[in-house]
Amino acid sequence: MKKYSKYIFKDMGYLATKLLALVLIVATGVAFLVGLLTTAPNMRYSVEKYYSDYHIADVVIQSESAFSDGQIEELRSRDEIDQIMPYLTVDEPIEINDSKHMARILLLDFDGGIILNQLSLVEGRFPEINEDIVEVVVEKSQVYLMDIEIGYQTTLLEQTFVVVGIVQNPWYFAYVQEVSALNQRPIETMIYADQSFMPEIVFSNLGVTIKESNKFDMFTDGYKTFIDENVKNLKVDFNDYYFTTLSQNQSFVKFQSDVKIVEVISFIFPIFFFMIAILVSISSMTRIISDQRVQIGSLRSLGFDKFKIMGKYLLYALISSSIGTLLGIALGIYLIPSIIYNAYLTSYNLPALSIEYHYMYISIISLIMIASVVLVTFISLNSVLREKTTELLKVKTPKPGKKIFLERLPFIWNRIKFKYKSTFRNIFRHKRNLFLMLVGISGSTALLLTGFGIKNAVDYAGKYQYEQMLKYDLEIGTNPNMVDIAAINQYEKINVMLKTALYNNEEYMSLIIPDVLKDINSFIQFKDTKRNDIDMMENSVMVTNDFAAKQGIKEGSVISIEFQGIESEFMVTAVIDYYFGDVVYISSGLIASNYSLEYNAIYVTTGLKMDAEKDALRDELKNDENVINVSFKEDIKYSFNKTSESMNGIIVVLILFACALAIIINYNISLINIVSRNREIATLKVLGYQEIEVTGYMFRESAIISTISILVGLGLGRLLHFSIISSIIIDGVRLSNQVDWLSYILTLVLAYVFLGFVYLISYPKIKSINMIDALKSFE
Amino acid sequence: MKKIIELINVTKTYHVGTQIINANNQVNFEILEGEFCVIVGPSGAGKTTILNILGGIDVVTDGVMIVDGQRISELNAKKLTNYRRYEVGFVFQFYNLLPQLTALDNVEIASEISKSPLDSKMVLEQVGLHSRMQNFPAQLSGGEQQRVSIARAIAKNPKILLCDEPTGALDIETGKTILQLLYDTCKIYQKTVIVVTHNLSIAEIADRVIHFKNGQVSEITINKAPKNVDDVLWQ
Repeated sequence: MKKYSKYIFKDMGYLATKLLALVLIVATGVAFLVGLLTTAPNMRYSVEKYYSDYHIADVVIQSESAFSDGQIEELRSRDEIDQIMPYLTVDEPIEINDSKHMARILLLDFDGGIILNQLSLVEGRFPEINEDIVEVVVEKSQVYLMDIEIGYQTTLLEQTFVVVGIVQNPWYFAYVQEVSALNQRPIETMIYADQSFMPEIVFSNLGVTIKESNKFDMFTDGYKTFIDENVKNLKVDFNDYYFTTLSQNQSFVKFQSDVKIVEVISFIFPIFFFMIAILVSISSMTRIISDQRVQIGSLRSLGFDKFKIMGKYLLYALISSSIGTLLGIALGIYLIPSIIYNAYLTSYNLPALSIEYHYMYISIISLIMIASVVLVTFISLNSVLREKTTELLKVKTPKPGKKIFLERLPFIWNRIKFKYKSTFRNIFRHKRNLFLMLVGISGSTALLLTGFGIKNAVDYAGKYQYEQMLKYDLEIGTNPNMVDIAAINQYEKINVMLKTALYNNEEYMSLIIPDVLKDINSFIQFKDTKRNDIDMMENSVMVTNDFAAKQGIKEGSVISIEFQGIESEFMVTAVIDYYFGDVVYISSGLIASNYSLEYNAIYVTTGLKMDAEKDALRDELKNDENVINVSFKEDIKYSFNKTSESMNGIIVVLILFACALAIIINYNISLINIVSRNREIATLKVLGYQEIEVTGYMFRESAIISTISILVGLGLGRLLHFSIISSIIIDGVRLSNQVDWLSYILTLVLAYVFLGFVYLISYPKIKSINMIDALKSFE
Repeated sequence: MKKIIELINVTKTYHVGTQIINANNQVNFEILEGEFCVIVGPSGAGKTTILNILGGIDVVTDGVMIVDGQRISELNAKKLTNYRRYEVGFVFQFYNLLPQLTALDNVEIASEISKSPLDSKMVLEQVGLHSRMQNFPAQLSGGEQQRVSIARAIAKNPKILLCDEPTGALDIETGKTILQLLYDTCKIYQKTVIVVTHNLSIAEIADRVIHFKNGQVSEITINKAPKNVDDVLWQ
């Protein structure tokens, strides 16, 4: 028995290369699936951990006037409420670097302790009470918040203040634009000071936690329902307060939507991948068993019982699939979520990723993988062991050749050189190889194309919107009908009315009503769904394609729209290609008679290129009291690009793994091919075929099958891409389901590079086949 | 007749682990063009090794092998492949046909890379496989498969035909017809045929018999009057 177990391990070394290929494919499949499936949960977990570490408020309550002590006590006595942290926020323009900027000033109890929405220190220190000067900390800079350095001094509420630290507030962790309650202007910095510097302490806000809310994870529906119900109860008695729940918090909403995208991509994709990995592992193992027939036969003839022999190979299957699985878990659980999460840090101020071990996922995935390999090993062993020992001792006679369909067409067949004849026959002779290659190579090609395609989709939406569609470069939000802005008198401009309206009494959408007196077409280039240019006319009602598809609206449909308390019907004149939300464009001429036209935005074509010029105009506009916000197209484009950048992590993961899969599958198949046909290779060598000719002979059929598989893969990838893209919406931006032709080419090139690479590393294997050994191994 | 093959002090050693095995030690012999030569000896005498060296699928460790004036023992791998391609035809005990090719294709696979091949169909007819050309190896008997293998070797139109135990896997009657075929090939096509066998009775039909023992040539006999295949008493 001891000898036998020694033999088992010795033999395992002999099978090492084949088992290694199995280990690798198992590891890749498991890593990818474990990694991607746990990414979204771990992203949520990281934020939830951040939230609880810094005691996030469940609700922020605001009131028109300051809260009195009595009001606060009344709330504190409620059963729903656990903790209350009163504080004051003031939105105030302040002078920074010689120009006015909108600041949100939060006055907290640094001295007594901030119990909710605690700040984390990025740099410097927290403020201390100082007689001469007010010490403050500022929120870390990001797209929408300016960079203020430690040591900076300026005047605030008639006092001098100095910045002593940079902090992060969990309530504002996403890069989103906060708007001032004072005048709707975007907040450009957030400043935190101790409340003691105010002569009289008043509270405008109450951070609140709900009792037992910590029973729920914040990103669950359960949490939202629980908080909403408690808030509903509170509202009954405090109906003049404004409640903002965590689930309504801008950062929360943005993050949740981003994680949702990761979740959509990480579902179909890795499962597809995992199935291919299982298929390849299974076939590797069956191949190992069938190559071991003679060995098995010898053991049988020596009198070893079936169970001992079976045990040996089941042990191999178990060991290699377990090693592969463990390797995959180790690799997948940290690497993949980190890459994806870190890429999202371009859009969020967040602490490092926290990993939660999702034992459920891990065990199910491991179990499926290991069980499939072991089970298939068992089945193929069983069929081998059922054969007579004497049969096993003979090498299985090679599968006989068969006439293929092409041979029935003598006018073609007779013109084909024998080496191609053999290629064609081989393709159909090894049906299992054919199937394996078709699934494996087309699968990895499909994944590759999808990876590139998702990148295209994200980029395309931005490119289309900002480079092709919008021809104006500045959008100004104004008070209603206050569109006479001196600063832009010299530029081409058009007044626009932006309004939220109710469609068919059931759904809200945006209404954009351009001034009919100006030609909107020189500001926006509309395109129909076939991407042909179309013009907006005096009677145009144009619906964006996504909204049209959702509501079943077509050109000629009559839709009902309600705003300003009036419902009217309009006939749709066109459906337009559009990626940024659900919008209906209506010419002002159509509504002038029934509604009051309130222009509250201006599209301007300034043609300004220099940042200094833009900044000057921006400052001038901000000083106009009728201007609410100013956004240059470049600003929006920049923030969209940031969003697009944050998806690079997941795209890189998809592409890398698709590449790994392609290489492993190709290698695996070529290895199988060479090992199982070494006799054929040796015969050709004896006949005087040069090594390069033998290699050509071997790879010709694999190249033909690969080419077919790659083409099938491109089609498959298109479908996979379509199904993933149609379920992704980023920041209200729908993605284009087009795949760039460059992505097709890149996928094609990569697929062939991998094929070539594998041929390159297989060539020495063909070269090293020894004619004498291969031909005498018949006995 | 001129010398077509000449071996001078050919030695072949194998390293198995730390052990050195002398498969051939100081082998010297020559074969004339058009001869039917049989190499005989017991198992392990080194005859197959010498055949492999003659066929260019193995190389000498030491010594010189000259074939048709060319010093084969000095060729690089590529030239050695060309030597196999143009100068020799191999017939194996277990045929080594490509299973996915028909009999005709199996012959063509060899003739296609030859400089002056014989017509594959004609050769197959001559080996008596006229009606079996479109069959796959699995559909042929052992004797028929060996005929295909011989046809494959002949169709290349090589100078030398090397046969390793060509009748070893066949019954006596089939073995005799294969032997007759090889003999005819030698005489009709003017090929030098070298047959390796442990079967001494085959030696009786040879022009030249080279006896091997312990990796060395123990005796070379020239048959002035070789027997006909039919007259050989098979052991």
